[in-house]
Amino acid sequence: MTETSAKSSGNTEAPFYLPLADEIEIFLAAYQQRLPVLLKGPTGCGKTRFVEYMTHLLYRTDASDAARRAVEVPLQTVACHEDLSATDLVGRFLLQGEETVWQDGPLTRSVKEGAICYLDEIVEARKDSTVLIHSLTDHRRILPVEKQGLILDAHANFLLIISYNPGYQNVLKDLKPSTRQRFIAIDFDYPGEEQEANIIAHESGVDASYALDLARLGARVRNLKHHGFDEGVSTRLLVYAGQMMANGVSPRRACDVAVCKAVTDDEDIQRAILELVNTIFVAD
Amino acid sequence: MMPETDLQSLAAVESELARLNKSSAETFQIVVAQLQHKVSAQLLLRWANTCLQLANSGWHAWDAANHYMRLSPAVMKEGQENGLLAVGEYGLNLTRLSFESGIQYFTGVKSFAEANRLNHLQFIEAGAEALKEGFKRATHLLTEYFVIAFQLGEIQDVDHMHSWVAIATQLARSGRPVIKQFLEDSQQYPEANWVFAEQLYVRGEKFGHHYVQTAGQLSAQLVGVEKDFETIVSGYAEQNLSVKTWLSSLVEVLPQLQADEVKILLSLCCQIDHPDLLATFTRNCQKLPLEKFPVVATWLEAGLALAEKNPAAAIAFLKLESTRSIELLEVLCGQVRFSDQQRYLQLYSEALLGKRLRIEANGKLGDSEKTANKSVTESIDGVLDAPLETALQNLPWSDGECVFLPEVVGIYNDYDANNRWLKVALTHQLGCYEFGTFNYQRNGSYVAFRDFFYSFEYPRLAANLFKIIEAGRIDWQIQRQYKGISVAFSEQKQAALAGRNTAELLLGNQLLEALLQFSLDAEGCDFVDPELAAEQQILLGLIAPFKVELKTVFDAVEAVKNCYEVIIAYRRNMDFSSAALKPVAYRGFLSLDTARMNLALTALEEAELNMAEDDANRTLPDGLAESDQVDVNELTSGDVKDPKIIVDMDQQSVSGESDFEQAQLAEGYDEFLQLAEARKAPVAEQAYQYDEWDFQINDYRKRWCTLFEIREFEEDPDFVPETLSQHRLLANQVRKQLNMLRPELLRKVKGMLDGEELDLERAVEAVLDRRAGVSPREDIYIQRQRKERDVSALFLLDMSASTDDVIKDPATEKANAENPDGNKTDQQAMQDYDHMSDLSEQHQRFYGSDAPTQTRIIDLEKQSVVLMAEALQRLGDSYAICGFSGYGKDRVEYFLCKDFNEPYNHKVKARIGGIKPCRSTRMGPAIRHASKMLEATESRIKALIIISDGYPQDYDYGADRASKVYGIKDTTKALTEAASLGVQSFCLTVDPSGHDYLREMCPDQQYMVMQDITQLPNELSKIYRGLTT
Repeated sequence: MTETSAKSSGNTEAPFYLPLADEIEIFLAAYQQRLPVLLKGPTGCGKTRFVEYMTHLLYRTDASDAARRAVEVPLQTVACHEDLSATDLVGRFLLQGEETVWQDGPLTRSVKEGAICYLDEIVEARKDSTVLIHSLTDHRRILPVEKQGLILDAHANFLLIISYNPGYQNVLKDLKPSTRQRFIAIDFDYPGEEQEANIIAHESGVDASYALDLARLGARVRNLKHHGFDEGVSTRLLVYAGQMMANGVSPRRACDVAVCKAVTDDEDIQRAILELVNTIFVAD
Repeated sequence: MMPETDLQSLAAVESELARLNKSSAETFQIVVAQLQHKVSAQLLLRWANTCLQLANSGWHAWDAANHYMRLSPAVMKEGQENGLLAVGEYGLNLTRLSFESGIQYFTGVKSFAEANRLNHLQFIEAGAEALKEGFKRATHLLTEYFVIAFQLGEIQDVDHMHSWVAIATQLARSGRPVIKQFLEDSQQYPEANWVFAEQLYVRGEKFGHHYVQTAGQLSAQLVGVEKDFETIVSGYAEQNLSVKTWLSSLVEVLPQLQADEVKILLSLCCQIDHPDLLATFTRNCQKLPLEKFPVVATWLEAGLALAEKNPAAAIAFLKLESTRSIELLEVLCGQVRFSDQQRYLQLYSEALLGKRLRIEANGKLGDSEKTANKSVTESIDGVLDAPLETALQNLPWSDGECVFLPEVVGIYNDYDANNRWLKVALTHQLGCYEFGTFNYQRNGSYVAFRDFFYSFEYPRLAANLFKIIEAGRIDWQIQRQYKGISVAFSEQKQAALAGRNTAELLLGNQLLEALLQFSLDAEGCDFVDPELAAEQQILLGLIAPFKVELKTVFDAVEAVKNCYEVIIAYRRNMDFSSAALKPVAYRGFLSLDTARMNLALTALEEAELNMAEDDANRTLPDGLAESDQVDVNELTSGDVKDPKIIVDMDQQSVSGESDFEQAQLAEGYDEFLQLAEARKAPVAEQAYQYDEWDFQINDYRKRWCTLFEIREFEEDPDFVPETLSQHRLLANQVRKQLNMLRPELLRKVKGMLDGEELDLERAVEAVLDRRAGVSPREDIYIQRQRKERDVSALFLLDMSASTDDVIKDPATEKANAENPDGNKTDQQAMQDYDHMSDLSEQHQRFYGSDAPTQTRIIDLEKQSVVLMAEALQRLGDSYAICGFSGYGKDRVEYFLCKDFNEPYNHKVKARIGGIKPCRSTRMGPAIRHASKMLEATESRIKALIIISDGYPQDYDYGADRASKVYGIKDTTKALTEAASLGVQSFCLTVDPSGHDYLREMCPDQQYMVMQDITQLPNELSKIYRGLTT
């Protein structure tokens, strides 16, 4: 039931991240004080990449201290969904042969090891799991593990990051104030055309001119976000389109599969986007 | 030398003539002198006697004698010695009847003799004999006959003359009006093919008459196509079928067609073998692209094929009224219809521009007949400031709120090419917004462009220069920025260049044309007078940078100044007041200052909206301050409609007061105010067009009905309060009934970690797991979760005239119906009595103690929706209240009392009160419109409740006014369409015979016939529950 992914920020290469404002400085300052961070922004605008980048910066660069470098998995990412319960985060007893064995959940592992725990799309999770993080995000920094009858003090390096997307979450799924008001909030949005073009060019390997056209397309498709699809097109999809183009797919076709068909099922919107693609990209 | 006795005889005749009339004697003397050397003395004497007889033959006969005398030398020239006397004899007989006939005869003979056509004379005389025989004393008719016969004789050959006389002879037996009509027709069209006409007259007088009459009226248009025309006419005459209607439609249509089109039309008509189809096709041919023969031929073939199975469908097809006809033609022509593309074009423009501009079709509703299938061509004339209604009917243009595109684009035969044209035209218009045409400002003026143009001696020249340079700039910018569409722009530029006519350009216009062609990427301009070569070079040099560099509207304005100087410096005395060039169709037109003002107003409205949303933080919204269309001066002054905003603005703006005053002094302020007022004014009527289902043709009649959505109509603010006070009890009942829906808002959700109940299945599974030593599942509970109601309901009230009927007392009605003869048992009578007292009680309860005795059906309908509305307010469902009526297909009225998102306020209540009986009940379009409104709500449950008092009817709801079938079939179709849109409909009628047609109209028995009308409010709430849960 629980989807937990653990991703290690590699020692060698930092993930590519192009700062859009002062988010790096803000995050570093928050980390210094171990203030939990809430990242708000639309799908595919770079929230997860930002977290990966910051994790690498804090745990794998020369600036990081020995204790942090020693953390094997410095970032625990949990993609929250509506069936995600507190158990999935904290841990559970598993049957192993004739005995039961306790297995830590990603949150508990992060708390113990001093890693960063990133709960992606937190509002999707069940309420009991959101309440669980309350004690970790105030001055107490403790995690009660009910099933074991333990209360864990968080490691000094532990930091909780949550993200949510105010765009498409409906009113019912909004973050409760008691949760919301425990975090420093950093707003994310899609980058400007030039910045996005740089990101696309870097990530997909497509040439700069195509990257700029893709960014231009992205900005214009996002103008339609009130028509049935709330998010517009993500930078991630534009990168996909770029990757397709870099692999020899014609620009119009690449945008058709990676953008038009991907963002909506409404035929008129698809047609409008396709016409936009045809306006921007030359035929093969 | 003449013998003396003969001379004396001649002298005697002369003196006798002199006694009758002096001029006759003189004429005699002259003519005798001419004749005596040419004819024998004997003949001359006989001739003289004939003259004398003529002169003596009646009143004023000397005149006829004079005419005879005068024609004599001419006849003798022909060598017709005997003929001369024969003519005299014949004329004498005529003159005895009337001297006019004689005179006309002699006049005609004279002209024949001079034209050497005396061989025609025998036919004319034969015809005259027939007339004389038929109409003994009709001397006027005879005179008229001679006038026309001799006219004809001068231009027609023997065969035709023979035929003509044969017709006249035939008609002489048919009565005076017929022959008179024939003579009139002959006079109007003497050149007719009389040999052909004779064949028709033999078939029947009407065939010949219709032919001659039409051929006469259309003689100019039928040149070169007579053969086709005659083939068709004779073909039908052979079958004894009249083509009168066709001929009269030809008379209407042909004068408006080009010669080539006439040819095509007639060759197509040859393929039609039924007079009705022939007439229909001809009458509607102007809606067809006749210049595209293969297209129309294929289309016609399809229509004629239809005629074999369903003649009514074929007629609708040829009238271009049925969907299959319109669609087939569009496909064949490759035409693009704007309405089919509207949504995607709207989305495209919104995406490209990042703001909402409405994209609409050019042309007014109701003009569809005129505009349909008229393609945009490059030949439309117009200038920058031409009146909209003339020049802009089909050109794309924009006013800052809306981009208008042609309804039908058929420039090319290829659908894709037409679509590309449409897209390029729209992108050009959008480019003006994206690349800042309307950013231009000039001393805070509201009409900056006008001020700019009028700062020149020749404003029109300046305006045209601006139009050319700015359009070129926009195109180049688009082509640089959007490489994908650049190819399509180049294609359109090439096509536009190919369509330019530079043959008769004035010198001044040559330079403008050179600039325009440069803006269309022309390679060279060899049409420019060598004298202007230097100026041309300078001008092109001035705008060349626009092609390669990023330029703004201000650069364009500078370029206009410079170009203007160059052109004016060349020749000061040149007249530029009418400087105008043929516009480039895809570039269309811009309503420059209106667009600027509209953009400013839109920015203000957005600011107003933002401020309303954020009352606590009243600062100038960021978006507005950054807006590139509006400056602060305009903002402060602009919104005078709402004083609140001005106060707000004044408080915030440091120099608010002075800015406001200053802005009032700015140029065009009054126009700005007018525009603002116009925008604020509610749209009293908005027109929509709907298809209508015709069961006879088994197809939709395309855009057949025009429905007017009316928001402003007579109001009655007292009705709702009165209803509520009268029916407090009933209102409570309805409310209670609807409140029962509330508990149903909860739904059970399984698989929860906690909840009110155990989910047995999962609980058992969990126990088993635990027994087996496996970690058991925890989600074993059932929770009752609140479910949002997602319902939109629309109440559609019949406002036909019959709803004005007073509701009869249900108790009495019932009793009368059940006991017409009084033969009932005591028990039955007792039961009836009980029932009657029940009904009376209900009635009493419904109307209260002081029940009005004169409640009408419409009142009850209104009362019902008022009670429903009150209850729905509490329930929180979204609902709309509308009424419909109208008269005829072009005037379906749809009264919008309350829209879905409109609060149930005083105004809405007054509108409901204002609903009153009007005219007809054309249900189809009203249901279609209501369904469209419901669909737009995107609610999960969409309910349409129609309350009516009878079957659908209108004076033109079907060809046969007495038949109900057409209306019922259309309404059935409309309800089926509604169902396919996810709208659940329910028909409530108070018509006792409602079962008959509602059973057919309403799917799944979704109808109810109210036996007791006073139950309407109660039933309505039950139905509502049924539909929305």
